[in-house]
Amino acid sequence: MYGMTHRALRQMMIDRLGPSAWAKVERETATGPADLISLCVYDDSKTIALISASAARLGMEVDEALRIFGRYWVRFAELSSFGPIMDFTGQDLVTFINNLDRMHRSVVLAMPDARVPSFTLIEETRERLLVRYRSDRTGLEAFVIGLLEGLMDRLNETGTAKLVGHTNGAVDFAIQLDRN
Amino acid sequence: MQAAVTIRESQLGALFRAFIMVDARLVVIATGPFFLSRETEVVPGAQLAELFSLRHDRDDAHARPLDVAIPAMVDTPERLELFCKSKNIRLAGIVFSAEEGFLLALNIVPEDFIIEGQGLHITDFCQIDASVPALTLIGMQRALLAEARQAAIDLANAQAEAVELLERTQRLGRYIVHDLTNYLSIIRLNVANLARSGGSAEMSRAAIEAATRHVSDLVLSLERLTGHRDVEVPPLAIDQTIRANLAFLAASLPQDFTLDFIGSAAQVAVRVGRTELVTILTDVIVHARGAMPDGGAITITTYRSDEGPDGAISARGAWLVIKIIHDGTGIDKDTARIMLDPHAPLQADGADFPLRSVRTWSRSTGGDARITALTAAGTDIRIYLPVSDEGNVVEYHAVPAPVGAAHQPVRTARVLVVEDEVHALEAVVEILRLEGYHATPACNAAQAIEALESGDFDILLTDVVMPERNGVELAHEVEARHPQIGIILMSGYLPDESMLRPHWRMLRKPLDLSLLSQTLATAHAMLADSATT
Ligand code: HEM
Repeated sequence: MYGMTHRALRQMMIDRLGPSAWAKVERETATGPADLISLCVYDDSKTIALISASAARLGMEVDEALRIFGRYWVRFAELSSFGPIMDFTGQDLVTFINNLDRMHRSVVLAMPDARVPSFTLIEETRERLLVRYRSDRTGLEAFVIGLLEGLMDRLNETGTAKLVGHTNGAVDFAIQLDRN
Repeated sequence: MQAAVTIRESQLGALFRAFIMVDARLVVIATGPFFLSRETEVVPGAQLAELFSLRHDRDDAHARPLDVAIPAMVDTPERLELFCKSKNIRLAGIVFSAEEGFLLALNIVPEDFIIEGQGLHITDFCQIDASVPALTLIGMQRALLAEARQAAIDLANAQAEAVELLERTQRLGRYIVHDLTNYLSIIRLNVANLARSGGSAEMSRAAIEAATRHVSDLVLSLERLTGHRDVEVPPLAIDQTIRANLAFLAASLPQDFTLDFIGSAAQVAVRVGRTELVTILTDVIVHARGAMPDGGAITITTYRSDEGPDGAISARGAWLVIKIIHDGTGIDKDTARIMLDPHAPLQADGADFPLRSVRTWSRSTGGDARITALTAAGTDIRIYLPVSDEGNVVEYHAVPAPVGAAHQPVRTARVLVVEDEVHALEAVVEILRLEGYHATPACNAAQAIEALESGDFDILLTDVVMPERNGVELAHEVEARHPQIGIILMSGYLPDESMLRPHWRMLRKPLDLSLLSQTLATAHAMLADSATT
């Protein structure tokens, strides 16, 4: 995965447990500044090692850590210098999800090794959005739930996101919004 | 012209996000999603010429008015560019004829290709518009530049930190080596003492025990220093610790000194290592000793204070202050500053100022150290340590005074020790004092000669290899002026024998302590004999 995830993870760990906890994660996983360049693409095993080591420090299951990390990630992206790209993608949940693929496609033009997912809004009512996620990676469902929660935080919505099923290699998530 | 294809408005909007349908008088009839999704003045009924012009800026004097330009462009491939009069928006496209008038098939052209501040979104561009990747990529490039700039700053900071850490480690390393050497010599001395019959076995055992404990604490500090171990330092009761180690501290002072302790911070605990505290106090006392060649009084006071080292007032006595006052020569402000400044150069003889370690250490605990010259004479040194409010105060260890600390010298020979290596010098002097001698240190031959002029000595114990005048030359000079002084040379190798006098004694380095005390004892005994006969 690209280095921005690693940077975001570092920031999350520093926010939660302080710099020494992250220093330990770096030591355990032999990570250095060269593994933290935003637009560099690293082997997924590196990202997984970092997440597992962080989960251990946080005293969480990996899935739980992935989820809080997904939620944190959105906040990190908007506060980082990628904020303008986030703004450009959309200012409401539906627009944002509809534009996510275009944004990802543009982003990866500069990153030949990146593998971006695809998000499609397949059903939309006032209170419920059904989002189909396609990826050639597996095991990131908890991360996606966290990301969707993060997007709700960002776009002033409250509600829940949960996995509702698998269809032909795609994973469907339902976002239930607290609207009335 | 008959339309060849019919396009629905929604399709039109997908292709030309900012299309505008106007009638023949250029009054707006309908608009594309770009205008629909935001508040603009481009609404049905508005006059196009009031909102847009072909003029890019004021210098564009030759721009035609819209009511001339638009009909002229109809159904030609000529590019129409419209500039919004009130906002920084540019639209571009071509003009089709339509039933009601004209269809301006327009898209957004971003100004400057910078995403920030233009209020543009991906949806403002049609699916095939290359502006989206262009804006995104430029956004990424800017993000990367910002990251690179930050990385350069981080790197510079890390470099400065590394240098600082290295210096600190070196400094602490020097202190630790020095302290270890001292404790080691105390252990050796007392082991030798134990082996001898007649010495006080109980005292020696206690001294060895105390020194061993200090050494293992020092090892702990080293481990912490090297990141080898994360050691949580438990809170330590300061008054009890100082009181329990008072005899040990007094042992580093010659007889003509008094050391008093007034502890008024009972129950106050601080997160510091016991040995670190004792070592730091030893450093302060060594400094005081240096400022008082003729002896004097040192008083250690402890109290709890609301005022921190920077003068800021905190709540509930957040600070523990250890105040050490001595009545030796005062020091001026600049010297005080240099003594505490970790970046200032070392002393002329290469040794570090003892007080610098005090500041380094107190800062490492979250506190600081201050030093003030008193008006009449003397110096006021204050160590500020943050008070720990947690329970679990470590039971203090009463550290028994090592041999000799009781100030009952068995022998009173006055020894002048000359050694250019400061730590070795301090260690030998320390050992001799513990053995009961009056030992005076000198870092080189010149200092030794000076000391000889102002005081009486029985024995000269000198290193051979020293810069400038070496130990053999010094021995010759001393013997010529003071023939009664016994001479002992210390050297790692055997000097040219032709230069030595037969009655001089030689000690091989590294020093064997039992041999040292034996040699000193016999030398002293012989001197005493020759004086009485
Ligand atoms: C400025 C914002 C963003 C940028 C620059 C960005 C960029 C990227 C890139 C480059 C990758 C590919 C990682 C690789 O293969 O190395 C990726 C993956 C991913 N992105 Fe984004 N992204 C952004 C925002 C978002 C948001 C808001 C979501 C929320 C749903 C999201 C969801 C994902 C997911 C789930 C992946 C995982 C890859 C997978 O499933 O295979 N991204 N992103």
